[in-house]
Amino acid sequence: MATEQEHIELANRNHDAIRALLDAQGDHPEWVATIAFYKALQIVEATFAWKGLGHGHGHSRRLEILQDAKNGYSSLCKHYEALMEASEVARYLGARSSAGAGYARFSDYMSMAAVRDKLLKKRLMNVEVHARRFLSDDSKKILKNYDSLFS
Amino acid sequence: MNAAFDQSAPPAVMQLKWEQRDGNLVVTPNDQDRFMVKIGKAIEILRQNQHYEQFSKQFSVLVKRLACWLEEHGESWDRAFLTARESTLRFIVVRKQVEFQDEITDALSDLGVEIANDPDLDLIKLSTRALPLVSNESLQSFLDHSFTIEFNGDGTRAHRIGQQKS
Repeated sequence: MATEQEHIELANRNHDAIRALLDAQGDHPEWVATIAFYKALQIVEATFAWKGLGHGHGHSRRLEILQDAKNGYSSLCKHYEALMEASEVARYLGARSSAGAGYARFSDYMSMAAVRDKLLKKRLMNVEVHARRFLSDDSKKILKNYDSLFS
Repeated sequence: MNAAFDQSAPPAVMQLKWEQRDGNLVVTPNDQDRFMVKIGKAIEILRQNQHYEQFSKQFSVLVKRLACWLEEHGESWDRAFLTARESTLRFIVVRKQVEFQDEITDALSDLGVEIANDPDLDLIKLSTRALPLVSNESLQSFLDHSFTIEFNGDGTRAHRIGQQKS
């Protein structure tokens, strides 16, 4: 089972990957959305490790822990779920031809500008801010903040 | 190919309708026997075999709670399903638009938290998911082939994208 700091290191690797995609030529909103969710997931797992909640085996069990009012994640849960939704749309729908007015490509669901504003600057930011209450001082120091994606 | 293993085959979806009667929301399955079968499947999915009677009551409360939510948010959704994934029930709401909208995503998250902390629904494990307006074919990736119930409101909701509602 990974430690709190190992999860933070994985979160930081995801952070670096997001940064690389933002700096790359062309837009990759579906990949940024997917990796942003996995950064959030690693941060959440780090808080579970620090709080002694163990490991959230699978997405459902992890969400169950976040939803349980006793665990104090109510301010974080909805932002995590918004990131999860976007990553599921990216992974399960991807680019689909669609008869009629339905979903055809990820950028119709969420443009690169919306990924920046709604996912990174709002949802990921909120996950990071709320998660800090449940992280050790060492992890708080090494976790790369969402705002450094834009500096 | 054996139809049971054909992932492109549409799941056996049963329909739930509801209506307001004297200020109460009354939910009606299109087939009561099949509804009982679905409850049995939900019990298997959530591994609640020891609590059949209690689970059945909670399942009915859940279905009514979800129908109430849909009634309250009637302008924002196109289709809605109760299905399963990873040993958990899953409430899937398809938006009327392709574009992401914060409001419905946040409202569904609030509903999930509310149900997770409702002591009268302590045998229920539920996650929620909003999806963009999507074709029927693409929707299949999100539906469990053995357990899917479609919330059909007043009976006019079940339609295929690209087809006119009757």
